[in-house]
Amino acid sequence: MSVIGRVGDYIRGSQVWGSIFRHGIPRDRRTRAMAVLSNVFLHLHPVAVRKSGIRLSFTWCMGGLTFFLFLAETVSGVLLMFYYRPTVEYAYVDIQGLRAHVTLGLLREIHRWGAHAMVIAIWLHMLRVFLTGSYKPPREFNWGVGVILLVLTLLLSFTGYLLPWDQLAIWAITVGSNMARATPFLGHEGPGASLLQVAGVPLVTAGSDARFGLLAGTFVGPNALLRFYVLHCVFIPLVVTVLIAVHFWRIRKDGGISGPL
Amino acid sequence: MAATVQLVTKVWIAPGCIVCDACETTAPTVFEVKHDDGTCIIRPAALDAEFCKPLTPDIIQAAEECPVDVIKFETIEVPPEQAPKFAAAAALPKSEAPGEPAAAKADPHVPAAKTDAGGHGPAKAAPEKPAPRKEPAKSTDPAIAALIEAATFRGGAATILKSSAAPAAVKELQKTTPDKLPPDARQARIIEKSKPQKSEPTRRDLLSAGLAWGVMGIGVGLPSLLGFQRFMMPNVLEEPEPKVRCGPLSKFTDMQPGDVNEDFKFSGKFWVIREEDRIAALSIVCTHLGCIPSWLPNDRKFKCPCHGSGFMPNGVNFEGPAPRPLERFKIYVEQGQVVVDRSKKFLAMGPNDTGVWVDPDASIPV
Repeated sequence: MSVIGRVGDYIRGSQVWGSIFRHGIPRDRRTRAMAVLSNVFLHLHPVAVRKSGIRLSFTWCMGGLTFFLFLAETVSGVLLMFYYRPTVEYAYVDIQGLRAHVTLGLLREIHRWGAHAMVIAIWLHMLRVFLTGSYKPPREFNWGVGVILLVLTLLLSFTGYLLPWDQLAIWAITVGSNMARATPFLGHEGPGASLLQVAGVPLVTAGSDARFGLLAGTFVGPNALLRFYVLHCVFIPLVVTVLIAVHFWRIRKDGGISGPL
Repeated sequence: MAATVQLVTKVWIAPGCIVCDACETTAPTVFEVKHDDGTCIIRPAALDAEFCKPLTPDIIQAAEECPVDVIKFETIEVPPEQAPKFAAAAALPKSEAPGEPAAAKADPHVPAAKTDAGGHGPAKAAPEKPAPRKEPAKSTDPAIAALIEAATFRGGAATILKSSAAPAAVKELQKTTPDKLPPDARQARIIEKSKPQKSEPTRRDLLSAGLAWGVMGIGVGLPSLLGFQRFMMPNVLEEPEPKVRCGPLSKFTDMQPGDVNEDFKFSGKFWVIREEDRIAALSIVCTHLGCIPSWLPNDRKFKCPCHGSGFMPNGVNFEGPAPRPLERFKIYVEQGQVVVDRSKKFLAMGPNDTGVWVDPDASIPV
């Protein structure tokens, strides 16, 4: 036996190999099913899907594309964090530096365009699910999870908008967060807020309402920049990751990928 | 191909189901996975032998796929010539479709269209070209006649696949559930599906697949890795300039041998010292654990406050735990100015290892 063959046999016979690939080469249907069931990433998915259910003309592949874009945003975003400091002093300079002197600083443009594409793709995914009736029981819970994911995607977009810290960013977030003033009961200019008072002292004021919590201040300043950075890079992505896992797993639990009507 | 055709007459579930959904995906009209009950059941309609026979390939496939082998079934063997009769017998009386989601399986049984009505050549005859148009179809079954006509229509089978272009009779067929299809069509489908699966991959298949994946992995992975490596190396630094200009050479040549200049101790992290025949720059970092020693002019030594290491005015350690002399930086004269370049160090590895200091960059001769 050749040296390569012996090395190959040694690797395949080792405990590490056996612990990772537990079912041999999936040559028959049975081993394929086992390979999916016993893999932590794949077992979220159905063991098998109907061919008609994954037809491009039926799914548009928009859910998969949204997930792909999420992964691309995660990878490029983590890399960008190496060159970005979320402080008033450095934020704008660092963004300019990515364009001016960082090798492959193009990642920043990829991150931004990918974000736009992800928002478009997730809307189209929702449209497809609606048009094919895939939201109907037993999939209604997964539709709910999907709606939360849509909102979180929009929030990711919104929080990422502030980070370049240019005039567009600051004023866009100023306008956007001003809407939080009008939140019912939670915004100090919103309906019902004036009802919340104790002995004539209002509970919801400009210094204690939803907008104040969002910006950690009364205007878009250093606290808001840091807060949006943490929300954008850590908090929302963590929640999204968990919900994506639930979203995929529910496809399996709700009878596999939905078929054409 | 085997001399006989197997038909499933009975299927049941043994204990031990893990509700993995595989069987229901493969044969939804037969199996129903009950997640709440933690097992899979046979749908009532599939308890009938005649219902199972046409679904033989799906049931066998589901049993093969089952990870815990709980799908059991019984088969009978019939010669291929008789198989259509069974199927035909199955089709005729079973016109009442049980109220169940059988519609999911209704796909346009294309191979059926190609089966010649008269002599129903089994599986291997499937891709054969349909009879020319002038030869009239022998079948009396209007559904089969419609399929034959569609297959011989301009565009052939493709016409049937694109339902929008198919003749009305074919559209009608596509809407019918499998158990209402003409017997020949179902038999052709059974024979087609009971063909042996693709054989095991050959060494050639594995090698070419490995090569393709390998090329793709290297083609994508290597540039990514190189790009990542390059990305992580910053092109612009916000660090203090490693070169420090220390003033005219005369300022240091005027010092007595053994003297220490402390002007740059905190701004530049080095001392400039005068030896008998040269000027050198000493790092202020103790070689023991990194504290900053103090120059004691009266004792003529550097003394570290942390663990008591002592260094002579030329930086050589002589007491305490420090294992080697203070490090020296590159020093040179440029346009009459003394310049210390902290990006290059000269490390003596022991009290007697002062050879590295002979390097012309390590000192300025006086």
